[in-house]
Amino acid sequence: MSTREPARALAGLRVFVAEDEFHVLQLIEDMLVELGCAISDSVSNVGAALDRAAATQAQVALLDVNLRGKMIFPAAEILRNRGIPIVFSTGYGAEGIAPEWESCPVIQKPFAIERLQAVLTQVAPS
Amino acid sequence: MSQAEVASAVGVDVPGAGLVPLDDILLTEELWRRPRRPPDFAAECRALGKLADALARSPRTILQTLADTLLDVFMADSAGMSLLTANGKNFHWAAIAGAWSPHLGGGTPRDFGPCGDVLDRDQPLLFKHWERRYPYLAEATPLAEEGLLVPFYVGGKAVGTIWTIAHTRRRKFDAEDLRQLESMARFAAAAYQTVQLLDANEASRAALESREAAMQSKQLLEGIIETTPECIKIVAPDGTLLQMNAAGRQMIEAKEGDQVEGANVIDLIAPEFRDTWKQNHRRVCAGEKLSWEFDIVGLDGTRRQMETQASPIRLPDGMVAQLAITRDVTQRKQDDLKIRESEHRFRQLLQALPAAIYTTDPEGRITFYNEAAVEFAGRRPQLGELWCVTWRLYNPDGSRLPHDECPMAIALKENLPVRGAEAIAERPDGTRRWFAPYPTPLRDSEGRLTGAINMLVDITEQKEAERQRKLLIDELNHRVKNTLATVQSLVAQTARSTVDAREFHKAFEGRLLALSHAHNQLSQRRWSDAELQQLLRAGLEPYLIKGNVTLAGDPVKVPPQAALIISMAVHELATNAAKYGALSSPDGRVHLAWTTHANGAGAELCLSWREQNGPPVQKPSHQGFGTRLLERGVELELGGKTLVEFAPGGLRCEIRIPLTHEHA
Repeated sequence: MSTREPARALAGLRVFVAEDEFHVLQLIEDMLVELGCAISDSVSNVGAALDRAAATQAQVALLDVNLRGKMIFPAAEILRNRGIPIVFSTGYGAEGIAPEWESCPVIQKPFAIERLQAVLTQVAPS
Repeated sequence: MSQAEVASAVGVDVPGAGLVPLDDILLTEELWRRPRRPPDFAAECRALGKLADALARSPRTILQTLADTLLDVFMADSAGMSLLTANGKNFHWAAIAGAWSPHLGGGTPRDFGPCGDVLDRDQPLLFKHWERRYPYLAEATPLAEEGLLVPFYVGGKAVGTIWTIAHTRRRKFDAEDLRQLESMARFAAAAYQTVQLLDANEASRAALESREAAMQSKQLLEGIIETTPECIKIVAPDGTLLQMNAAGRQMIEAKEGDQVEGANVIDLIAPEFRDTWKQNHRRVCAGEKLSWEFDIVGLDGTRRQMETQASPIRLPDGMVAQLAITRDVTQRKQDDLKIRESEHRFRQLLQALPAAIYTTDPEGRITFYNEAAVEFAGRRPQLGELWCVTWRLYNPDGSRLPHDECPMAIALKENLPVRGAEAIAERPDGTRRWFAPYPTPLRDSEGRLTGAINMLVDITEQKEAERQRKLLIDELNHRVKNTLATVQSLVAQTARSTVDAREFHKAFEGRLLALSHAHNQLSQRRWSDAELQQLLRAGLEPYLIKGNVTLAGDPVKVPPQAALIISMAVHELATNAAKYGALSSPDGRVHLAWTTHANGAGAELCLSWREQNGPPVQKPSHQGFGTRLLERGVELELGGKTLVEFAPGGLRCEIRIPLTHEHA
């Protein structure tokens, strides 16, 4: 595995991760660690996401749209209301996302670490 | 009493015997004895000229002109003309001038009067006081002192007399008067013939004209009646057929020359219609106009259905009969029946079809619907409703579709079939059905719009299938993308724990196949769940064949997510055991057993991995892929718990997974 310089812009960025597939979650976490980010929350279902959204210290949220057949949007709503920028990750493409979320970037799985770096850089608070 | 009446009253019934003899009232001989006055030819010529002129100008009044002239020429008191009547029994005073003029139109009997005497003796006669022999003439006043009569002839036959009368003794007729009167008699004959001719002409012309007119109008009427294709008949109050035209005779199957007049109509009426017919016949003869229907049975036994229009008609004898115009409606009735039967058949056909079908008139009012339409619409429409059998309509985009803009309305308004449309019908119970309408205008044989038929094909299932297919494709896409992401993760994590490509290849391939085995098992059951034992067998097959792994447990099904994690986790345990544990030595054994038991709200699966007879157990120096999966994966993805114990006798691993859980 290649090693890379932690991206300065993302160093220490606290990320809220919602992903129902363990292996994919593992991959994303590894990527975030590699990018120098901190994983503030890891959830694999909407119930857990709702529990954590209100109290999280995250600065950015990377949310899988569909967790075990349930839509992440109610949790995303809370995060948005708290001013936390959101990036959606999905296997469906942008089509499954309601128009009111169209300002949020969407990354399609599977994605390379560079793509993740780019969207996080795009949304991360400066 | 008029003179004519006097004359006819006496007539020939009164015998001449007992009365004054004829010769006693005659003094004809005296004419030659009396001094003869000199002839005035100029006056005579003037008189004849006047008569000729009158004959030419006004022949109708020539007889009266003659009488006036006689009076004038003879300086008589009365003058006139008597004509023998056609029956030869009387003389008729056809023209009179002077004192006797009030007696115009009177006359005397042929065989008992002066004129008759003149004809009998075939010579002029001079009478005096004829009332002595013919008492009835006493009524003809003033009385005649003298009367000179001359016969005149047509075709050698005496037909009348002309005469002059002196009512006083002042005027006595003489031979010159006789000569002049005989001369006038020739003219009288001519005048008489002229008048006769005129009368005859006029009479014959009038007769001819009226006869022709009558004939013509009668022929016309008869022609109309005879050629009318309807039966025209006149029926007497007692039911006797008085008259019937050719069409009627044909309807009752009368042969050429059959006498139908006089027959009783009732015999021709079919028995079950007779009472009604009689009743109506009575009403018509009493003055009502009626129309009704009945069957007749012809003389050859053919039954026909008739429609009659009957009116009362007064016959010349004053009797009121029934005049009827009757139509044979058998064919029309049969056609009507055929049409009704054909309509009935079509309706049955439409009723039997499983598709919702209805029809409308040209204005869009519903005229028919089948039960399938009722079922589809979820309501029973009223006949006469406009455009649709359905309750509410929506466009495919969900907006309301007014009934008067529906495909059926468009088809009718544009007189064109509509194809390819789709709409959603809402039933009164709120359920919605997708449908494809097929509205088609109906036209008669001349192309006029008579209405429309619409078939509503329920495409809800098809639409649902389309939706499902889209969902499936989306889901497949999602799964493929997630699986690729999982593979990406496997690559990354395997790369972390291997030192060269060969080792990576072997480790990665093992994990990929474990994932694939789980997919195979899930695919077999359409991703609903997987049979645990089969799942484990597929993953552990090489070891099961060697016999150093044993499986034990009840049949249990696990959800897809659990199947994937368990499959991968057991693969990691087996790989580890083959490298470092019980499966690395020939005597080593692994017992994999599972149980399910109730746990709170649902069931819990407990999987137990026990290694025996292996090399001494060493706790690994770092947390690898397998450990992370067993501990974090089971917990995060399945809400379960894993306990790994590096016991001296062999590794033990216990995995507990809730089977009814949000994760499941």
